[in-house]
Amino acid sequence: MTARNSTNRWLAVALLGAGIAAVYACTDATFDEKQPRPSFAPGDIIGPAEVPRENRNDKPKDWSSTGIALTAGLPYRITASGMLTFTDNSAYHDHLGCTPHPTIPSSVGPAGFDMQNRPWAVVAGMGTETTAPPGAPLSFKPPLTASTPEMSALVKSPGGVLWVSRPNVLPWVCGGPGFDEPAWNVSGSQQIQATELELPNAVPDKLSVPVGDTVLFTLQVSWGTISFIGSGTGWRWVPDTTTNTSSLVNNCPRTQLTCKVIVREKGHVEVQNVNVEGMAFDARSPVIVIGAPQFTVTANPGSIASAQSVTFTAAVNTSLEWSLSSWTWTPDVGAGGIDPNDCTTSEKTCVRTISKAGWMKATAVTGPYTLTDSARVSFVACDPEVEIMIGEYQTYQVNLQPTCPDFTNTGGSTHFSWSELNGGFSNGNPHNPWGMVKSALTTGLEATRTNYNRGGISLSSGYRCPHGNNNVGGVPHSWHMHGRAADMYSSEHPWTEDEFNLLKTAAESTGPIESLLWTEYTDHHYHAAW
Amino acid sequence: MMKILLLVTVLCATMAEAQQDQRALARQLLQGSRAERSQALETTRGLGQGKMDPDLRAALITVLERNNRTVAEAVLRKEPVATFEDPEFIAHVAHVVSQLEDPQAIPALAGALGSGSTLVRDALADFGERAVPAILVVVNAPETHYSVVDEGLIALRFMVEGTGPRPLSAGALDQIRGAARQRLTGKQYFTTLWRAIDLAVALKDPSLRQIVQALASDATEVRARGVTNPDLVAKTQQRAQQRLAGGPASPRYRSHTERNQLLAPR
Repeated sequence: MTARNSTNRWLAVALLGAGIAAVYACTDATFDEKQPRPSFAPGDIIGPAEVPRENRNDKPKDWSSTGIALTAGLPYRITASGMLTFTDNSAYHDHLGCTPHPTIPSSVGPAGFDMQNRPWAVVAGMGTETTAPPGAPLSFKPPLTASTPEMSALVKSPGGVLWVSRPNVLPWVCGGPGFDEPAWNVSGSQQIQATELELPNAVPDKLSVPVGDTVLFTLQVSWGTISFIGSGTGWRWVPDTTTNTSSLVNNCPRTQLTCKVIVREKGHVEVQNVNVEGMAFDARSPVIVIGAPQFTVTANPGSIASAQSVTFTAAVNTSLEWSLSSWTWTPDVGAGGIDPNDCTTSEKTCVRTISKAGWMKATAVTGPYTLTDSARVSFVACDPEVEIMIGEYQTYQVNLQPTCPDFTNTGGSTHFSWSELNGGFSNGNPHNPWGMVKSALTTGLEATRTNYNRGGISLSSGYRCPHGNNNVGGVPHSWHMHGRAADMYSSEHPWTEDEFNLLKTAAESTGPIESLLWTEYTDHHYHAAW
Repeated sequence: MMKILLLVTVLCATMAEAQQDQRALARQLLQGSRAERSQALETTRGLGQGKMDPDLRAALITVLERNNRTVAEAVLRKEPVATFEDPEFIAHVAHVVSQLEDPQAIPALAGALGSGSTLVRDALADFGERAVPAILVVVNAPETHYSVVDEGLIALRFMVEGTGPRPLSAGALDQIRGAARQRLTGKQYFTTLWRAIDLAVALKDPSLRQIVQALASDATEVRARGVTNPDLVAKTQQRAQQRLAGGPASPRYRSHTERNQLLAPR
């Protein structure tokens, strides 16, 4: 292939590209004239459009329209991306007298090469549909390096169309009679697009308020930093009614990025000249209506895997006084599931141990409004083994209706392992490691060990499933099936009647419900339940 | 008029049905198999004391008395109670009867002080002075098993500490002092001596306190009560010293409500 042939081929490709661009531009213009331009919302992407380029390193590209139209006054993020490949042109070196060119990276992003004037950088600006940008180009943000695949700039659109160019190039070219060889051939493509951004908002802490409630507005924008409120009217309440009796607390000076308004009628706030990243926008809030305040009841955590402490919080988003008139816990199955008792109306935050799935409902009263809300506490799915165990409680008609979260497959306390508390088949639980051990048992056992103060206590039986309890001849309503009983021995002293009674006396100080005697069983184990 | 008659008829029928159910429960408690008795007991407990008719209450008390005899006989024969009846069932019956708040149950409850139900002593303390004679019968009887005596002494302490409906009379207090004195002197099992020390200190009687002081300071006094194991002697003295110094006695009394909460499946 000769150099001439190569140039012609690149020229052809360039012309084809320009043709496509022209067709694209015409199509866009036609669309614009005959149909309403599609409306965009914050977050929408407009484009992308191809950034034109030459095939050789030494040819700049003048301004060309991308066809991306941007609405006046709105903020946009303009993003240029893609890597171009620069391939050494061997023909450049075929000619004597051509200046040796420097070594450059083989690929370059939209920020151009890391040289003076950033050769091959994409330059963008706002023009009209037919006129190239008259003013300064957009300022893309650092880091601007050759290897950066993407760069972006924030712009407040003056209205118009986005244009692009590549004014700076790499000058190495070797020419003479009958030849014109660039140092590098260029391939690849780059795109540019615009993302519509939201205007700064005055975000209220509530949308519906009773008359006289205070609403806090905070200036917010997701895509930049609000630095100050420029000259103009600053914070302003705009009523949607003929009256305007709402008031700005302390007049909300422009130095504040937040504003409290005592709202007495439907309306919103507006703020002029909110400065975001060096650009000024007008901000406004959603409409605040007069009505009942929002009452929420939350449960934390809202999903539990076993009986555990749950914090219920009732909150009314009003600065006016409010009180609770009721808390109602409704388990999905049966009754109970809340310990130690129902929440009381004096508790706006109520912490209880929840052992069943269910709903906590609360009712609040503020001014003329009576409000209710509920929070759900749910459980994670039951292990199949646990389902079997729950079924046993029905089969054996035990006076307990445990639910999935009552069971765990791990646990224990400082001196009593889970396997010991939960037992194996020999002492009544073939479903080990799944079992049910109540905190009353572990607390009682640990306290007993402390009081006993004579070393370890070993357990010959702890939790028993109903089937296991039946197998070992346990009484039909044994506390062992409730996870509240244990059979004990000293693990360090000969098991005499005196030793038994030392352990029993130690246990009785911890308040067990059952504390059986030396004379009860053949093996003289000490049975206690808490 | 017809409507009223119909309503009365329905109500009467419902009440009769309920009475029949409770009669069946009572029969099962007294005559049923092991499983039936346990199930009937649980159903009875679920009814709550307010809804039990007199027959059912009487059946419960009868079962408790029967269990008391079983325990006493087993102890007499030096055979495990479990040979005759499930010890947990015995305790469960005592749990339920202790929550009846029925004065007619006092003698049976006093007999059930060694049933393994720790609720019995609290329930007896709730009766106050009315229960003192029944407790003293078991506490003062030389043949009573130490574990029953221990529970009786605890129940008396609860009364002295003021858990009953009204203050004990001087006469009752005098009798309790007598019981404490009896169990602080002579040969006693070490746990009985411990419970007697607790009661003696709670009574705030100078002469009883003097005995406790002697036990606290002189090991030979402890050994004289039949507690000879050096470890137990030391523990007995330590206990006496702690009580004299104002240390709280344990176990502590639990109210009817607390006991109901403990009994409820949770």
